[in-house]
Amino acid sequence: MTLFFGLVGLYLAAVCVIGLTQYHKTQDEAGFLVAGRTLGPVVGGATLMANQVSAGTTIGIVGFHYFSGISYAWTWPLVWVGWLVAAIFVAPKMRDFAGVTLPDFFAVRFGGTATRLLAAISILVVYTVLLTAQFQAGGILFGLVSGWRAPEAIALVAAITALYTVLGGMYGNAYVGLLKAGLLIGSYALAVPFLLRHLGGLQEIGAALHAIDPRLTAQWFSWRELIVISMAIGLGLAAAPYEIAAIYAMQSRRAVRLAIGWSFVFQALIGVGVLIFGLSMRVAVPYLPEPDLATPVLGLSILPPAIGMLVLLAAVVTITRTGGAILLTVASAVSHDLYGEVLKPDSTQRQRVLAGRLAVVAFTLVPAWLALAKLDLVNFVVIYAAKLMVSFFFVPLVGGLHWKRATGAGAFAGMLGGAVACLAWSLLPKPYPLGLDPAEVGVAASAALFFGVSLATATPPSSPPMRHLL
Amino acid sequence: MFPLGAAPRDFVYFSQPCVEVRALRFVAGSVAIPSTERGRGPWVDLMLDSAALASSQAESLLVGYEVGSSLRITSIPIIMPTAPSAATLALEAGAPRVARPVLPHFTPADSGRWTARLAALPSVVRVDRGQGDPPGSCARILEPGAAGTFGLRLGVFLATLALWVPLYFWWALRQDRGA
Repeated sequence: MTLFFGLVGLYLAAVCVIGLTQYHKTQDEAGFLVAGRTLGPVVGGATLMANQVSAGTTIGIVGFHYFSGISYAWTWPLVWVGWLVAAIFVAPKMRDFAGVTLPDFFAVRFGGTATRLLAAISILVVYTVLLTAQFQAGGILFGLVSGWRAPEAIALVAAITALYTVLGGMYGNAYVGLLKAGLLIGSYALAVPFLLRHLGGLQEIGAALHAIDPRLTAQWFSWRELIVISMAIGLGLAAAPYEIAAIYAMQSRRAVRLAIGWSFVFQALIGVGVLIFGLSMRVAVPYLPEPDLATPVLGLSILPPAIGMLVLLAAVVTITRTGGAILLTVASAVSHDLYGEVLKPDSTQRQRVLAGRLAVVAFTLVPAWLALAKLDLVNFVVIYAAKLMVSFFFVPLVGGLHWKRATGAGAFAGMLGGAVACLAWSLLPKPYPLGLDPAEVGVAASAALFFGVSLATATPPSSPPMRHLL
Repeated sequence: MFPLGAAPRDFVYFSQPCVEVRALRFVAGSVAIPSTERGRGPWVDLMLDSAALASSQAESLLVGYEVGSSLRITSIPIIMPTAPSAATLALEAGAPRVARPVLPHFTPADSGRWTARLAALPSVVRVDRGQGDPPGSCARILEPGAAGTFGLRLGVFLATLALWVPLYFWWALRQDRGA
């Protein structure tokens, strides 16, 4: 425990150094929210990966592999289809647009403040759910390591997350993202060979899993379930406000495309690591009280102390870093879209940055409180937030980038209708009617409303930046 | 020693190649409880006689067994209930001698004694005895299909990842060349 908290202390010190060295660059909005548009392919790739690879991965997906075996691993390449959509249809144009937030795009593309407001409010709602998953996972991890009760453990994770977001903004997030990639890949590279050596190798693990339940070595999740989950996550990422902010922060279109490739490299290594972790833990400790404990128990009890503590530290960094990206996006929705563009358009840059920092503190509290209620297994919470996200943003964003006939009314209807349909469908008893997942219903409703309402309303004249993009 | 009551009456252990589990006994109070064994791949299920267990009226169950192995690094199977069970394990250097535990992580207590507090029981405790047959001299001989299609599925998955990354970079660099 002492070693663990020592490492967390070192991490905090590194975060403070990164935050303080970057602080002078974060005195205006472009510096604080999009790192002055200076990120290259490798740091950019680490940033994209670090946004995606959250507690849902290091705690949640390990737990998923623990209870469901190998089949969930296919969500990695399936989610990458969403990244391909981003690389082809979204990222280059959004980088050229060079906004600060995703609602910026909707406001410029469709005019008026209605779509900006709706997008900003939806970010606050969806990202509160996503941040809850991070804090819940952090609470499990710190609680098990320290023996603290959930409120103290969650409060510590929330405080660490808020601290470096306030200090470093997007610069801090980018460099902590690189640190996170190094820690994850380094600790997994040490842990995986140890597990394979001492559990008899992959075939031995496979035989043990197959004997527990043949679905563990085959298809626990059906292909349809995997595709729906992956499309919700992947297409949601293509339109995710925090990934769009990272795309704005990159140097050029070329840097964006290459960064997506680098994020694939990082994700592939991490994906193999979490797969081996989950499968090995099912053999090493077959009766855990709950699957989300697989990573904490692995780090604390199964691996040698030095490697185990590195794995746990990587999980802490993952939780707090993704939490930081989420908080930064929430801060930008408040400071830039609500405060700067709607409530007080004549505000100075310093006032907006201050509003963003205050928003970080304020929006740390609600998810911390929700995390105490423990909504579900961590990865289920992450998947639910992704379903809401893809139902809300995907169709209006891609349609707005590529369809000249799209209108503000169509975008507004698509966003609201998609989110409401997804939410309403998810409240129905399972199995869902017609076997349709809430994400499928949300995206279908969003598309129907976006195209239908756009065709039924007059096309506004496009603004100069949009003429260039479209 | 396991508390009885609502706990399941079935136990399981993860058999290990070249490691023999013998003299297995379950005792509730002073009553020996008969059990039946059933192999399930490398796992061995142990079903206790529920009538004998009920008649014992004991509050806890003692599980005892001996393990024989000639390997230097040996995996000692842990006989565990088929439900989550937090535990404190103690390991003592006796006969046969244990030089150091390898897995899970134990904390040294006294000279030649280690303890581990665990959220759930591990399937094996792996120890280095400091002497014996070298690691790798004994491996389980798996029957064909023992792991189902695990190897094939894992291979296809890894190949997909390994192919995807260079193909993507090839595409991305072509886009920039054309731009």
